[in-house]
Amino acid sequence: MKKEFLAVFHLISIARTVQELNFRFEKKFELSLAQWMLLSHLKDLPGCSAFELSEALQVHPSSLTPALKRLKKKGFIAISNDPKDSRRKNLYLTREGRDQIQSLTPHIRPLVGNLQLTTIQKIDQTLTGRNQI
Amino acid sequence: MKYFLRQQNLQLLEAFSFTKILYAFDFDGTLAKIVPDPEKAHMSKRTEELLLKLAKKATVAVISGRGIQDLKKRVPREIRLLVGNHGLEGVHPRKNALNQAHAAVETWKKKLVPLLKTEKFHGVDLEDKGFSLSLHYRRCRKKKEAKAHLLKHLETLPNPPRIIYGKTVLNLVPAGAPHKGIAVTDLLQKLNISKAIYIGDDETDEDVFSLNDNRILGVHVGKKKSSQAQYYLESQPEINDVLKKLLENVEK
Repeated sequence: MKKEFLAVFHLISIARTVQELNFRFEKKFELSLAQWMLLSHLKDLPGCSAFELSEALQVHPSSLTPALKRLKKKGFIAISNDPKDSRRKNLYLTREGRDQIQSLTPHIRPLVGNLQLTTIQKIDQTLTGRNQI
Repeated sequence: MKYFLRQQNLQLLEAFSFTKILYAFDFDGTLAKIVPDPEKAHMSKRTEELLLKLAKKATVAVISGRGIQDLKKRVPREIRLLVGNHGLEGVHPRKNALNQAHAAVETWKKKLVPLLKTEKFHGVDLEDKGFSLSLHYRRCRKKKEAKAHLLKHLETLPNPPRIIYGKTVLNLVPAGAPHKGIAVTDLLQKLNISKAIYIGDDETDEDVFSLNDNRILGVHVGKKKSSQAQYYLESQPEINDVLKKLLENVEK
């Protein structure tokens, strides 16, 4: 096996581990890592639309819909009609959602250990650049 | 426009307290009742007490049409974020805009002072706020006529002012000068805050409501169809209910 492919194997392994962690977190804390990230962003954007939230998370708006539905069902977020624009829905965190983020945060920190943020950002940027394939 | 103190909106209000928020209020008609003599306008003891408590735990600003010096006499000194003259006298004033405004006000005054001494304008009081003028006609017997005469003359002023209609008062502000909307967005930027709640009742508060800026949640005191605010309060005394709720949220 060529040495340069080892990096790709590691990346695939990371993706699998993250997926597994996501699953384990949801089972144990009712909240996956992806949902925790969504709620953390929503905490700072009360009253935003799904489109604004998707921009903040850098994901496609349509991919947010199922997650938002699940979080609403769990009572972690609420959705209301915008008083000025009937086409717009406003999203915001409930107190339960806020408490859930807080209780999960201590478990999230050890995940990254001593890894430098810049290292993770570099990997993310490199992979995002390959999205056109 | 939806009623602000509905249960669902209170939940949204609570969500605002989970992050760093700017709570900004107009003074006359919002924090203080409108009174016949503006000199006598003041916050009720309860409002002042609640506002002070909130200011100790969150970022609070008062944005008024009054001059800053006048505002300082009416707002507890613990509240440091004061914006006066309809947004012109900001927390970080734009020197150039202020100089231009002052020059315009001096020119208008020269024209208006002799005019107001004539019989036609008996009962009109000129208030000089340094960077804007207010023409109060509440003491005039025929208020409608006085207002019409004033408006006719104001059209002829050099560098015609922006006229802001208040309750028995016409406020003259230099056209194109920074307004309350700019003051709020300036504060958000300078304080590095991503969201604001703004409560006001005046026409100049529409400068904030009509920004259509998703970062700002606008609340109009009194239900007014033409307002651009998303929410409304029934009347001024409800400000205490809002302050109480905001305080409860930040204390939780």
